Amino acid sequence: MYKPRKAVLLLLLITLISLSGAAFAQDDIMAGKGGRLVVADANSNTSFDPFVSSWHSWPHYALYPTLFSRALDMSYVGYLADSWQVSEDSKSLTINLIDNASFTDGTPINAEALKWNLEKYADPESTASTGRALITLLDNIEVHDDYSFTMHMNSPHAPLFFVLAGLEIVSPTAYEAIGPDDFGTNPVGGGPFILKELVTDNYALFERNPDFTWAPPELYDHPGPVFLDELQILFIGEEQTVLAALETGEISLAGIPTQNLADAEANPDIDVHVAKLSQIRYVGFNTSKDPWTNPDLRRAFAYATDRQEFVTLAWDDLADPLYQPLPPTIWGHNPDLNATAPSFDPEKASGMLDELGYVDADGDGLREDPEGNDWTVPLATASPDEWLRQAEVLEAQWRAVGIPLQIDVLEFSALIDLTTTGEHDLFLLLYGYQDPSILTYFFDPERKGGSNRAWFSTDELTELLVAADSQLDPDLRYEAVTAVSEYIIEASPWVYLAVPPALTGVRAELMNWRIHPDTSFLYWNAYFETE
Amino acid sequence: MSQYILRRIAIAFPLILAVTTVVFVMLRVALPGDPAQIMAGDRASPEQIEIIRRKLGLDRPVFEQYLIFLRNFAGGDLGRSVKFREPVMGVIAKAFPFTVTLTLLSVAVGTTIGLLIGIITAVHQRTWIDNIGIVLTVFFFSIPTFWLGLMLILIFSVGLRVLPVQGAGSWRHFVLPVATLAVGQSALIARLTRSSMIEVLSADYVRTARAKGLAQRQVLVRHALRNTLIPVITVVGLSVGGLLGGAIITESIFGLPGVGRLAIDAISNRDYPMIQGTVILVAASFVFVNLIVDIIYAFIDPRIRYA
Amino acid sequence: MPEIKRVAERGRPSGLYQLVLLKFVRNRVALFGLCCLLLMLLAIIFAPQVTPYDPIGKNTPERNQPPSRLHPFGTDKLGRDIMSRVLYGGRVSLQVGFLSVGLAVLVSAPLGLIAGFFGGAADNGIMRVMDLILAFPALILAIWLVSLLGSNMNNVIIAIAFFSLPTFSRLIRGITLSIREMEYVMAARGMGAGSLRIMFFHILPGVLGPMIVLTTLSVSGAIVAGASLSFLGLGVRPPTPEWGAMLADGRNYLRTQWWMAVFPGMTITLVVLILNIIGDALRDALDPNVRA
Repeated sequence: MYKPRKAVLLLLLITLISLSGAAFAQDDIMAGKGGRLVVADANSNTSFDPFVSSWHSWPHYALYPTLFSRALDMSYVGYLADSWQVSEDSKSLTINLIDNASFTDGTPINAEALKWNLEKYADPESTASTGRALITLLDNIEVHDDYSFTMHMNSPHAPLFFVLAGLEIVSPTAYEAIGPDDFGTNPVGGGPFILKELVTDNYALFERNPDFTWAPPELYDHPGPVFLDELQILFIGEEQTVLAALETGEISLAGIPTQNLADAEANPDIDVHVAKLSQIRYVGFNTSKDPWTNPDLRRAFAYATDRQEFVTLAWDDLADPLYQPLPPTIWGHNPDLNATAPSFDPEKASGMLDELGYVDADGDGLREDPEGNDWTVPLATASPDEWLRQAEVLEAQWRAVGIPLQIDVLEFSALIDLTTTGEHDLFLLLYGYQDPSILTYFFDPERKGGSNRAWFSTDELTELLVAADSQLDPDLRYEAVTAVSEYIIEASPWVYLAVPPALTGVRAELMNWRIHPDTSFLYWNAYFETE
Repeated sequence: MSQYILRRIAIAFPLILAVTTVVFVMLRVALPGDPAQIMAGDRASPEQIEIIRRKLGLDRPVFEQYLIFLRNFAGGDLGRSVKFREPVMGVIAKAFPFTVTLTLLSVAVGTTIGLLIGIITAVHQRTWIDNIGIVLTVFFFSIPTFWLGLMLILIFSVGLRVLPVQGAGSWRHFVLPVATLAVGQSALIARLTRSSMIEVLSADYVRTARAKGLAQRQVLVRHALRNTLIPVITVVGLSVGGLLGGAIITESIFGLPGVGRLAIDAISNRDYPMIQGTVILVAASFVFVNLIVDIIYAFIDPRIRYA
Repeated sequence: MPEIKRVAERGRPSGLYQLVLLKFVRNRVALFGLCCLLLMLLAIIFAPQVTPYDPIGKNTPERNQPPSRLHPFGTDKLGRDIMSRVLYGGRVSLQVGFLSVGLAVLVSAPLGLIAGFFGGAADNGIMRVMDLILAFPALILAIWLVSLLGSNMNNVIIAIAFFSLPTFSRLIRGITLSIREMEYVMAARGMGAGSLRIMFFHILPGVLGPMIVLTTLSVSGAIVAGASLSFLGLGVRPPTPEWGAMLADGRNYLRTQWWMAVFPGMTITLVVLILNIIGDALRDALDPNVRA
């Protein structure tokens, strides 16, 4: 696929002409549109260097393009990738790039740039979590010409497109010139926005990238640039402040606290979008510590948990009860499994506990352990109000069947630290993800002391997980994921609780916005009317 | 006096170093939580956490880490924030001017109002003015900051639409945070002033001054106020010192770019260099403010000697 | 004449205390305040008899109820009666409030007196230690305390007392410094009074006024601080009710379920108000210049 130099020049010329033509057309569609979109984000910023931190929130996607994106039907569509081909053995992926994209330092987004980026993600020294799958997966990258390359992998990897859709592509030239120390504050990407100002821990302000014309057509009405002049992200955690600022119009987009939903819906200045997060709340057991090694005991807790009441008390019925490790918002969820999973049955829970020897010997309404000593079940939880309320609901529900729960409130960092020691008992946590491969991270024998916080793994489960992660055929993968879920439900290392709601409030002045099924906000078509 | 000041400044350095050392050791040895774990995210394997620990230099012996820290500190380098990947010095330098402004404004406003209320209630001791004074000051003192801040936002920003909810762009952004901080401050000062003033007003020299036929106002200003100020200044000093370390709750309610947010975020992320930076700042502020307070003591009450 | 004789017979101290008591009792407002406080204490001690509701049990159909005849303070997210929670919560909160401030005063009063009175090395030593405490980030210390000692009410009390030491001792020291130089102290010294005697009989009474004010105000600070510590895990465990935690949690519901925060908040304010009124009356009663 050798391109003579003249052809490149010619192509460049044609591109230039067509671009200027496009520019004329854009002036038309961009007229009267603009404004600054102010967004509230409860998490404060981290480095903008995607190889250092995985902060897959607004700013990264504003700054950097990715190879793939997800369409509204959740299928993968090209962003920087124009077309692609998976080899017969599922171990190689050949990608042809679009040829009109460039970084904001003027260098082209080409095969060499992609190779540099992917290899950097695959470097074991990289500290970002997104690209970690590539470390063991990527064998080598073969560049065919300016705009096409092939990734050769050690094994087939089902979540490959998911991984690639999360990898932000930076300008290698700029990265090497600026250096890893300062790239985080002087990022150079090729996304719809450019960083204009950063006040650490307070806000980040972006301005429109005027050269950006490569938005994926499946998601956006026009190729770009975006209509908005500026995008500002405020790092404010206080939910009532955020709500007040949304009401006054200082913020144009923010999450709405559950209890204020009715007020926000009644407010004509605010449009409210209600969906479910691709996140779950669960209680995990440390299955490596007695007595939690006993699956019957863990199942008894699941039978003692009334999820319907849980979502009523903890979320005013806005969350959905959950009976399996994957929520309906993550692909791979199988609604048929709910029938087989333990659901609320206090008599059954009591019976199981009695049988295991946990009986109320002294008649105080709380059970004693099989030796007849006082029993306490420590549940570690983080300290935000929402978490405490969930812990309180569990305490009340479990006390009803005689389980004496003791709520240990910890600061979040201390909670995470505790779960890696293996000394813990029960813990209340959440996870949010977009792909069923997440379960591998939680039940991988290699990750005990890391993300396997339940310290749960069996050879059988590992096999099932590997099978699910290496099956590229969607139907077969769905079956494999169902088998994984089934196994986990049966073993009960977790009690699945709920799928929390995503309540988004948007100022009525903002036009043409949309919320992706993955609950991300699509702002490229959005604008405020200007004169 | 100048010798005293010099000596106090000389003492300041070991103090700051002592605080920093204790925090340094405590963070690494005794505190649960690990920056590498936080950075690695919720899907990390133990090996990946270990790689990050190595990159951050946390795998070395604590003593060695401490020596490295001391060497850098001596050269004016506090290291890079683990979370923000920016030099700690730069991040704090950007936030500190804002914190100083907020502190001075709110303490000045709060103290002025507090003194006025205190003097008025003391002069009108055990009358209805005094009673109203007690009820109001206690009421405002016991309103928690987060409540007051939220109420002010609801009234002035959402209800009346006259002041912005959050941010720090103009003087208008300062009104609500300063009011929030000043209310508690003024209530405390008012109570202290009243009590101290009553004490002084009944002292012999004030009665002598009155007997000499000096006008009430003259007695108050020339004799009583001066001596009233000692406990007030102590408390003002403590407030300034405390607020310079960041008004954590007020900053987070009004979304302000101060050092309080930095400090609390640093702690929850176990961002060691950032924690150390804010600790040094807090320690230095306290030492500085206490020194000023002691100098003012001597200035107001020349009889206080510094041996 | 018999009047004087009686006082003389009973000796000076008892006469003084009697006078103080008399002056205090004459203060109607303070007396009323004291009665209110006692009444509250009784209600808190006999909470199970006062309220029929379980302060920790959930009650789904009754949740988020505004104040009514059945639930005078309304109910919370889990349907628990807020009045019951306020009453039961008083057990913890009042202990934390009073004991921590008491402990802080007990330790800091001698420190401040010694520092202010003797000056020099003692002053420098004590005050630099206080600076160290002030300069130390309370949050880190609190997290560290939790991991070291575990979480219980005594540790909360110790932690809060520890953090208020510098404030109290600096205040006492400042006042001591100024009183030390007053004529009456000089006179006492001239008459050959010893240091201890001067400290206790001449300086301490002068320090009392501002101290009472600060102490009574600090109780509310301590109750609210108890709540912030409970966020770090250093505090009473949920679902045990506690005023500070109820107040903090309620802030998110100010616009929708205002009663969740307003009633615990009002209770704290009321307690502190009463304490201040009593404190003022006590101060006046102790002041020889104020006539009964």
